[in-house]
Amino acid sequence: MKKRNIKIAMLLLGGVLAVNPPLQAETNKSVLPEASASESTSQGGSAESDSAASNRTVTREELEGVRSELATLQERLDRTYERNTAQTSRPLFITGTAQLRYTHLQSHFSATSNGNKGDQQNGLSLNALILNFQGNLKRDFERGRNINYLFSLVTPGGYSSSWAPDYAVKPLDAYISYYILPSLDPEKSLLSVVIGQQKKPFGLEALAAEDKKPTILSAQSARPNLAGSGDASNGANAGAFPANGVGLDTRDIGVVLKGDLFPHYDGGYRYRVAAVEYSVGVLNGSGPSTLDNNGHKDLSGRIVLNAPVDYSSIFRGLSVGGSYYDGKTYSAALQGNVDTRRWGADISYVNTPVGFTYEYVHAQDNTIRKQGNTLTIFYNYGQQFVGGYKSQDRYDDWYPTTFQPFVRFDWWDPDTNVAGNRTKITTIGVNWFLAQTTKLQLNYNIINQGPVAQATYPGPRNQFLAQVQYSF
Amino acid sequence: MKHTLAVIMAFFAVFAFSANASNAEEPKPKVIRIGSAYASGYGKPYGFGNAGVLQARTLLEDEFRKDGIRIEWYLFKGAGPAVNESLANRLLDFVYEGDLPAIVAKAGGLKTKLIAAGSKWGNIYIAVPADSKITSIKELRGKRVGLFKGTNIQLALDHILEANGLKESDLRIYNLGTVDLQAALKTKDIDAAVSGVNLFTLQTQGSAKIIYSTKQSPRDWKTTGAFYVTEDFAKKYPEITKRVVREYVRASAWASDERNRNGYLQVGINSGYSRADQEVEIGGRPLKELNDVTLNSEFVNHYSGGIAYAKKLGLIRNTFDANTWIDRSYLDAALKELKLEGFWK
Repeated sequence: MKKRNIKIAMLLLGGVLAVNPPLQAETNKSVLPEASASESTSQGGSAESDSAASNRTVTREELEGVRSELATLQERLDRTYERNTAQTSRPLFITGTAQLRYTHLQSHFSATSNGNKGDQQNGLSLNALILNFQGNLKRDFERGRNINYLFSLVTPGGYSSSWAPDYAVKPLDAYISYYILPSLDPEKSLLSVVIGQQKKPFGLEALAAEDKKPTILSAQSARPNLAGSGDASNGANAGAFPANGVGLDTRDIGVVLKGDLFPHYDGGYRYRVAAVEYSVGVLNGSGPSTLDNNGHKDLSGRIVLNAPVDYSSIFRGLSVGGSYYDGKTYSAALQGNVDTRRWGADISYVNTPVGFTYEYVHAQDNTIRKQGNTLTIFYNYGQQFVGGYKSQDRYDDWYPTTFQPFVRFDWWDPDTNVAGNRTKITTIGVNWFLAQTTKLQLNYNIINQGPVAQATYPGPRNQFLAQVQYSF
Repeated sequence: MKHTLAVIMAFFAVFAFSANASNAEEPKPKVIRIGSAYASGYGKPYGFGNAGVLQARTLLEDEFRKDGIRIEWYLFKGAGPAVNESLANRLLDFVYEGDLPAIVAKAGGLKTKLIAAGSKWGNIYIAVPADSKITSIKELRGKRVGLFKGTNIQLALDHILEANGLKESDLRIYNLGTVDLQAALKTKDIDAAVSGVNLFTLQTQGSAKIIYSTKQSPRDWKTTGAFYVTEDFAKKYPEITKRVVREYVRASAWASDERNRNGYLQVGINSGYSRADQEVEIGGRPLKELNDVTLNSEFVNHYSGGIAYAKKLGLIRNTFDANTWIDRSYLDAALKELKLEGFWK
């Protein structure tokens, strides 16, 4: 009987504990400081004297002592600042980018009829080292009609016919920009003018920022035309075979007007998209860091229609664009100017996590017509392109890792009058965004050339490229 | 007797096994992701408000440790808009944010459910540089005013402006985050700043003065937060959602107890707010009122009014019924389980 009563009592006690979780919670979940009664009592006596001390008036000597210490500190800081701190006359922001690349070609070049010979070796290369200096020349606090500047240097500037990089440092971008319309209100249109050496307002890929480009090499249409030109950098940069494009992403010197119309602002996401973006420029047409060689100014323009939708819309990131370039190039062989025209159309859907871009380019250099198509499909595993997500309150150098597998199909015909001249490059790759300003890229290029292309520009069938790009 | 006990024990064993079996049928997530807009922006990985207490007390970590479920906290410097961006990209399961950004997200089609209240009736303050001649709201016309747009502070400001015959377009609004606001006011790049209790630090330092607060304003003008779950998560893991809400309520009950006042203030200190500033903000309000989680009629009316007001201001295009947005089931179950049904009444 006694044992039975004890068992019942234990069962009842267990039942009471089981149905009263707050009782359990309070005993083991208090992790924040709370003063105990004994602490309060022991502090009571000393608290009185502390209170009296804290209410005491500061003496003149003590105040003078503080002033003297402050003056000494100020002098020390001024001296350190003058002697040990680099100074500029205007706000300056220094950034840079480096690309370290490894190239492996399945086969190598051999001597050809155009004199292009050499045997590009597999191996590591410094593909690009860029240093940027930027800031503002005039800051308009009232309306944001700021004058900003960018001056950047790049090396290597080209390659010799034996694939030796030319490490002469050359200007890449060098321009000032001015916001003609106020730029502080996201719900108003923007308009700015950019004067100096800059990218031409043409094309989708050519104008994309480095972190937005999935592939290591540009599309064939965007590459410079170096084949057979006798240029010291004949043969293109390491792995960038073939090099018979129309140089869409090379710089030029001129004046470009950029703006947008009908902005749509989704305040709930701080997301802004303009229904229409436009840019139009007047350029020398002679390329970067050189004088105009024909006295004729080239005209370049681009217009993009963006889906003016909210951030949460499935159509966010859908854009359709068109580009046009009209100019003249001086031909030493012909001792005169020849027509240089390009036009392009593109459509892109850049959303998270999936997206694609397609671009068509048609070019005419004198009587030679060229055309190319580039289709890229990508998928993002990670938050690289979710801006607000990357900005969190964290102690460590946290950054979300993102993997971006992609596939690209790139067709280029350097002369539509010649059959069998087309080159198709299929690129399978993955980008790994592993830190705030660092990405690792792996690309495998499968190169298929038409018979004429193969005979004229014999080259590697397949390429493997790996590149680390980091910025600061 | 022994035979009877054996039968009883076998019965309970069978019942326990079948209960566990039915619980095991609901899949479990590997991780529960909680985003909070109530982050100070000072770079410290601690939130404040009801969710900040939940995080500080590690209630969820303790609750789900036995399930092997990891808890991940995300504190967004970009506040509500950044939370919405992550929600839209399916990066969060639960969020704690203010009224306006949640309304905008829901109106824009994000599938969330409002499951508990929090941080009720917070105040906003308007500060000007210490030597400014501006003393009233009406004098802000044409002036540069810093505001963290898209947060619950914006809706409160709109009420204040309307009462003074003004609207946002009568001011030159600069969209600035919490930390940038303070810096811009100090350097006088703006004429006024609209923000929360963080402005008191500038007043204490002597670089600004508060010219207006909503302490004497109608309660509906004040800010409030709430706890939300994505519909996807709630549908897939109803039991997990129930347990999360229960711990949220447990944390809120702890924060509502005046005996825990020091601990509650420490949560704010960890996030970056001084004790003195918090005391000014709380004023004479009982903690129970501030950390009330109930979805009472006053709270629901605030949200209904907020939806209509946001539509009137053009901040949202579509309206919706707040009552269909709210899901009381989890909160009711938690209050019942913790025997807190009358705690906040």
